[in-house]
This record gives sequence, structure tokens and C-alpha cells, in this order.
Amino acid sequence: MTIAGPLLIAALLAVSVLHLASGAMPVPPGEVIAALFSYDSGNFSHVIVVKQRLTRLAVALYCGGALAVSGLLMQRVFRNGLVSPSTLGVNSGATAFVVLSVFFLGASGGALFLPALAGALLALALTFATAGLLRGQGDPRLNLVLAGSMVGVLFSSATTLVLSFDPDRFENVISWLIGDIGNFDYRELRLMAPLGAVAMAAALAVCRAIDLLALGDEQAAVMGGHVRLIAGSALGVALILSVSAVVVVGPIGFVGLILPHATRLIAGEFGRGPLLFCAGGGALAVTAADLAARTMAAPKVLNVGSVMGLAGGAAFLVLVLATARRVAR
Amino acid sequence: MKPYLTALVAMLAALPAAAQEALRTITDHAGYEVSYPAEPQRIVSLHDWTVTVMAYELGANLVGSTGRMSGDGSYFVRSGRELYGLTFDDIALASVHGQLDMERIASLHPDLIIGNLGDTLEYRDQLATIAPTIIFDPMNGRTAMENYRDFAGWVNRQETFDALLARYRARIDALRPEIAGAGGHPSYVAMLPNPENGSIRLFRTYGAQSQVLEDLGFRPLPVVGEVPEGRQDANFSPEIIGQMNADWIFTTHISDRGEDEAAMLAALEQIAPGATGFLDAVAAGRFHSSDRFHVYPMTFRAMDYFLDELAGLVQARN
Amino acid sequence: MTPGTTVLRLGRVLSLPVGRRFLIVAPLLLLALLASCWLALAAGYSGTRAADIWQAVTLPREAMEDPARMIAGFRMPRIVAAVLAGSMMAASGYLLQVVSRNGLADPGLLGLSDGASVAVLLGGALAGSAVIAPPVLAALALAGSLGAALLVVGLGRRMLTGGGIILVGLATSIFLGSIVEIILVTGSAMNFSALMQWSRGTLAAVDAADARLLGLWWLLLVPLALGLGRSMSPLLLGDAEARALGVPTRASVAAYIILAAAFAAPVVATCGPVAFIGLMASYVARSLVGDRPTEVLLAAMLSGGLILLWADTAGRTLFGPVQVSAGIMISVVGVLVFVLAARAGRLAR
Repeated sequence: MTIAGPLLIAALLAVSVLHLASGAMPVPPGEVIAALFSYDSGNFSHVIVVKQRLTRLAVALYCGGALAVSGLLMQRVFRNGLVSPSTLGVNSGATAFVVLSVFFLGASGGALFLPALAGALLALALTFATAGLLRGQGDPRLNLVLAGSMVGVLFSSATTLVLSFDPDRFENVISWLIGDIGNFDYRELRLMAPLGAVAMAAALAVCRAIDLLALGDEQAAVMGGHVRLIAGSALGVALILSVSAVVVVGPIGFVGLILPHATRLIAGEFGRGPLLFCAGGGALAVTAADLAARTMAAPKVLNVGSVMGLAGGAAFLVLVLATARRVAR
Repeated sequence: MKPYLTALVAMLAALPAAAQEALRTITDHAGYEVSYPAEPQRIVSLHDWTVTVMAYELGANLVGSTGRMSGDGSYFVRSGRELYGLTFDDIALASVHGQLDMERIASLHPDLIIGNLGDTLEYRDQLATIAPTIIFDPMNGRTAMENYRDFAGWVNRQETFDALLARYRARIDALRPEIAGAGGHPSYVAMLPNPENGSIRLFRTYGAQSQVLEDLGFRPLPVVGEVPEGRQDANFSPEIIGQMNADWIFTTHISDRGEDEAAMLAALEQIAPGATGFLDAVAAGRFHSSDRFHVYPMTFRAMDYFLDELAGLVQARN
Repeated sequence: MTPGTTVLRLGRVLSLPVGRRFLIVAPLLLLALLASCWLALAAGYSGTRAADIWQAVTLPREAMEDPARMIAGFRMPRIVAAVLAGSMMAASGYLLQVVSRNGLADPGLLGLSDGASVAVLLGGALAGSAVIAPPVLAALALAGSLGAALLVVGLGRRMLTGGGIILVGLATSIFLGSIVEIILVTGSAMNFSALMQWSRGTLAAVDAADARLLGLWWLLLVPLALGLGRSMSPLLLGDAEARALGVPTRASVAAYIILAAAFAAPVVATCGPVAFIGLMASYVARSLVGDRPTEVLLAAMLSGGLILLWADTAGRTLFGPVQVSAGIMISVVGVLVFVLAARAGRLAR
């Protein structure tokens, strides 16, 4: 932990600088610095750096951190390394409700938080209801993930149905549906960030209590923890964090699944350190993905969600295969 | 063996009938050879803002078309409504766009079905059991005008097409000096700002709009070459706006949503703050937005509409 | 003899122990399927009389009148395809559930559909501007989905038993899906919404040739599945027990997964990936007939056919002129009803 923390901060800084300095239009380093410290709204290079790159950077940092911590909390609460906002169907539930409320209620901006939260809660409830059908057979941790992917398909089918009514009307939001950072997401971010900050503080506050859960229900109760209260509040914080990120960037997967594992390997499991490390790591991952999305096919832009799916899918595969090898030994 | 025998018998039985009725045989844009009555009496179109509007403009015997659902649950012919006032009181609703119902189409008793490649190809075998089916491909890489000429030949309206084309050419020749100006070949870019995620879509071709511009001698900016070959358009980072400094910038809006030119300019400014300040076209009054459903379909009415707009712009400036 | 079984004898050679519940349930399901087929034949945009259906079923095409020809030309292939595809997805799902010993396993999780999409896109890229004929597309999709399944089995060979293989499938399908997204999104957004439609599964474009293709695979695979049924019971008990009974688990498990993929691949190629049929049908079948694998397999196939037939028929007739694809009907309506009903059933017990 002693060296991992500073290293992570250095990496975050490096990627952030790279993020600001590269893109479809070459901007010399001097200009980038000038744009940050003596902004001239008449200089188009400055506009690009501040209004198109810095804003995206802020969104990537926030959403990465929020999704990663959300995943960490969920994995702790369920004591299951396979759960995350995306594998439990939470992301697609939130997305489906956002699309529904855009189509039928004409909602937009921060007003989308409530429907998104409702969708996330419903998805989570459905996932548990479905996994409950299998109680007593198979590996319960796996059941939860399978149920989550099933609920995910259910909600994304509902999204598809609404889209098919009038594809032209949704032309502009399709990239959001895959999960993407847009140049204007900072507007939603301004609405969501205070909420996220409160949730993050709450996460740090309940951190010690959550560590108790790892001992198992009975042990935790003996140690004086109110198991249901702790688990419930941690889960609530996790949901708020992930929904606040989904409202801004759409359903970007895998950050919440992979980062907690990386954190465990590098920074350990208990205390506040790993939580903060996980937040930083998530921010790093999404910022790097956004950098790749903006530069890989420049001047064309890819969706951050797709890039994350590509990298995260591969990482997930490695995770699964490595776990299997360890078990086999 | 039996199916072949029955097919043979059916062919023999059909021969005298075919000899009486004049047939036309063409190769469509998907490469199928299709034979059908030389003057089809009951044409059903399966794509509204390409096939339907062309058939209607040429006065072909159109009995039905696919349509789209609007927010209140009623159906309309995209672009047919805007350009010709065509509604489903005039022709029958053959299916909802992209959701073909074979029985509904068959109940119109068509003697020719025309669909577009993207939406119809996978249904072609089924459709061919109802009536001879032609696949039209507006995005096959040839010019919109060549494709329209093919289409006119298919529905036996070559003469109408030639007359409309001659009128259009005369108009282009008359307006070219006035619109294209002294230099003769102004540069242009056709784009669409996406204010939801801040990207910009550039078009290689855009129906009637780009056809008219090309005929007037406009040339696209080099950056448009980044759009992949064979694609109509692609999404770009707003950072390329520095390479978009053309003499003219064209975009489109959807009036139904309450959008207009000012809204599109605001969207552009939102995506790239300050852009409207340094893009020369904006300052020169050469940023122009047209109603999308008036200028995308490739018909002479649409091209006339866009020419009217351009002429109006130039006159207003002089 | 175990309680609740009857022995069917055919002469002296063949004697088959059959569950009594199966003897009641199977004919009932078959009857329901036939009745549903009749109803589906009668439902559609154009009005239908019983005589038209009779004509459509019995007369050769040339002798039919118009309404009957409509039924024979458009409704019949779709109905046949729905029943076949539904039963194949059910069989595929059940086999996977046996292998993974997990009631939520579904062929959708093997990466088949994403493999098919990647193959079709690659084919499109190689063909350039040339139009690919639908039969070639179907072949590409078939090859792609089988290829993806083999890839998943290969990568996950260490964890064939238990549920690990499903996780490998999930990861692979997400990886392949992202590639598809990247290719499509750099192009036009409209392609993406068309892909989303297909990726939910639809029978709208199915014609007689597709139904024949499905029929061929069905005839090829069902005997294989029934033949393998004998070795399934030990698998249900777990690795050690199966090995103790002399069933070579690893080999048979790999065979099951490949068989499951082969069941699902032609369906994916003709109708797109219709998710959840395997899951629902197996659950229904197990609660109807118990645990004997061959019986559950047959009951699941009957239920799967029923589910897809109802979903497709409802989607094409209830909301006219809007056509809702069978895949969406199943994913949204079907799954909600299923989860709630199954929960209610569990609580009542």
C-alpha cells in the first residue's frame, strides 16, 4: 500500500495530462498549459482543451470512481467477487427507465435521476427474485450473476422496443445507450456530483462496519454489528453511486467488476485505503478508455462503453480463467 | 422430383399468358433478375422517403406504401407528406416501416413490389411469392440521379423522368452563375451537429441536397474523404471543426420537433463554443439549414425545394 | 422399480421405464401444441375460416384459393419454424443446465449470437460493396456462432463442469459484442438500431427454406440428444458420482456443450438469438415431470415450442400494424410473467 498509493496518483496525473494533450486536433503542450492558466475564449485551441477535453476528463474521473466504488461495496456486501452494477442488471434497469421516461414523459437532465434509481432498484429486486428461484442448487454466487445477466437482457429488450417505435427520434442518444462520455455530460455531472460526493463520504464512513461483514453474519453480530443495517446502507450508497454515473454517461460496464479485484491484489482488502485506491483506479481506467476512444480512430470517435467492453471483457475472461486455474491446483 | 415436374407444368401453362402480356425484365440493385408487367398497375413501395416519393412524383401506379408511426399513434409517409401532401387517404398502408406484415402486403394484390436494400433484402424471398419484387439501393455508391434514372425505367416512366430532368438541368444552368459565384467552384461541407454527445456527423452524400450542390459545381472539403468509402456518413470529434472552414456549411433540422436554423447554429456553438465566431461561412451568411424531410429524398420536387432555398439566400444577400 | 414409473413394453425386445407423470404430461403438452398451431394458423391480418386452414394443410399449393395460399405461404413456415426453433433452444438450454448444474444457463450465454454478428460483419467487409445473398449470410452466421461456441469451450475447458463455462461464455460474448459495436458505431447509427432489432430475435423474415433448414438440423440432433440422454442422470449427481458410475465426465460434458451449441446455432442463424426459452422451458418441464433427464428434455422441447409459437403469434397479431418481434415478447412479457409466477408458486408451496 505504501508505494501503490503514490504510484496510482502519478499514473492518474500522467493519464490526465495525456488526455488533455491529445485528440483529433493537435494542440502543442505550451498551448495546453496556456489554455488552463490563461484561458482565451477567442482561441479555438483553448476552447478545445477546456470545453472539449477538460470537461470529458472531469466526467471520466467522476464516473470511473463512482462505478468502481459501487462495485467494491456490492462485492463486499454480497461477499461475491462476480457482482457489480453491470452484472447485477442495475445499469440496464436504470438505462431502460431513462429511455422510457424520455419517450413517454419527455424528461431530461437531472430529472432522470429518479426514474434511473427506480429502474436500478427494480432490476436489483428482479435479479434477487430470479436468483431465489434457484436456491439450493448450484453455486449461489454464480446464480446471482446469471440472474443479473437475464434481468439485463430483459431491460435492454424493453429499451429496444421503445427505440423501435421511432428510431429517428433516438438517433442522438444511441451512443449514450452503449455508454459514452459526451462533451456535454458535465452539465449532468454538475447535478450528480454533489450527490455522489455525499455518497462517497458515506461509503468512507461505513467502511469499517463493512469490514465486519467479511467475518460472516454471526461473527459480525457478535462483534456488535447490526448486519442488516450495515449491508442495507452500504447497498444504498452503492446504488446511488452507480445510478449517478449511469445518468451521466450511460451503462459503462466492467469498471465496477474488475477494479475491486485489482484493488484487492494491490492494496489489500480492509480499511479506507483500498476504498480510495479503488476510486482512483476506476477513474484511471475510464479516463484511459476515453483517451483510447478519442484517439484510436481519430478524428472519428468511438464509444467509451465499447472500448471498456473490449478491455473489460478480456480482463473478465482472464479473471475467470485465472480463478479456475487456482481452483484446479 | 415431383416439385420440378409441377414447376415445369406451371411454366408451360404460364407461357401463352406471358406472350400476350408485355413483360419487362431488369436486373435490380441486389443483382436479381426480375420479370414483371411492362406497365405495372398495382405497385407497392416498402420504403417511404426513397421509393414511395419517387414513384409518386413520376406518376407510377402506386397503391400502397410503408409508413411511420407518429407520437399520437397515426401513420404518415415520411417526405411524401412534406413534399407532396401524400397521406394514407391517398394510398394504403402496406406495413409499418421496418416491420413488414406479409399478409397486409398480399391483401393489396400488388403486381410489383419495390423495397430498398437495407430494410427489404432479408424479406425478398417471401415478397417474391406475392409479386415480382425489385430491390432498390439508394446507397450503392452511384449518384442519386443515376439511381433515380434506373428507377424511372423500372416503373415505365422514362419519358416523364427525362422531361423533369431537362427542366431541372435548365434551372441549374440558369442559377449556377448566381449561386456558385464568380469563382465557380465554392467548397462546402454537409454536416449534422449532435448536441447530445457533442459529436459531428459528416456526410459524403445527402440525397437531393448533395446532388444539387454537385450539379451546381460545389466541391466537398478534403475532410469529408475521412468518411469510409461506400458509407454515406460517419461520426467525428468536434475538434475537426478547425478543418470545416468551407465557403458554405449545410445542415438539416426537423421542423416537427420545433427545430430551425437558429437552433442548429446554437447546437453547433454548444458543441464547439466559439466556432460560429471563426467559421467564415457563418459570418458570411452561408451557414444554411434545411428541413431534413424536404431535402433528403432524391426527387425533383426535393431538388427544386433546395434550389429555391439557395436562390432565396443568394437574392437576400444581393 | 422406482415408485411413479411404468414400464412400456414393445414386444419382447424393448422395455422402457417411463414416469407416470410424464405419461400424462407429454400427451397434454402435445395436444396444447397442436391446438396452438391451429389457433396460430387462424390468426393474422386477413380473416380466416376453418375451411381455409383445412385447404392450406391438405391441398397442394396450386389447388388452393387465395386465403389458403396466404396461410400456407406465410403463416405455416413461421409456425413450423417457431415450434422447431423453440424446441431446439429448449433442448440447448436444458443440456447446458445439466452440464453446468445450474437452472439459469441459457444458450444466449455461450456467445453464439455475437459470434454470428462478427462473422456476418467480416463477410460484409470482405465482400466490399457486393451484396451478400441471404443463404450465404445464414451460412456465415451458422459458422460464426459455432465458432464462438467452440472458442468458449476451448477457453473454458478447465471448468467444463460446474458453472465456470457460463462465465467464460459471458465474457466472450461481451468481448465480441464490443467489437461489433465499435465496427457499427463508427459507421451509421441506423445500422445499430437495426442490429439491436435482430439481436433480440425475430421470425418475421423466416420463410419455407429457413423452416426446412431448421427441420433438417432438428432431425439430425434430436436422436443424438436422446441417445446421450442415458449418460445424463449420473451427471446430475456431480462429478465424483458420475465418475464412480463409469461415465467419463469431461468427454461427455464437452460433447453436451457442443451439442447444445449445434442446437442453438441454426436458430441464431435464421431467427437471431431468442433468449430465455431454454431457461423457461426447462423450469416448466422440471416442475411438470420431475428429474428423469430424457423425460425433462422431451417435455422441455414441447414447452419451448409452445412458448416461441405463442410469443411470435401474439407479437404479429395483437398490436397490428405494429409487429413486435418474438424475442422482445419473450424477454419482456415472458420473463416477467415467468419470474413472478415461479416466485408465487414457490411461496405457495
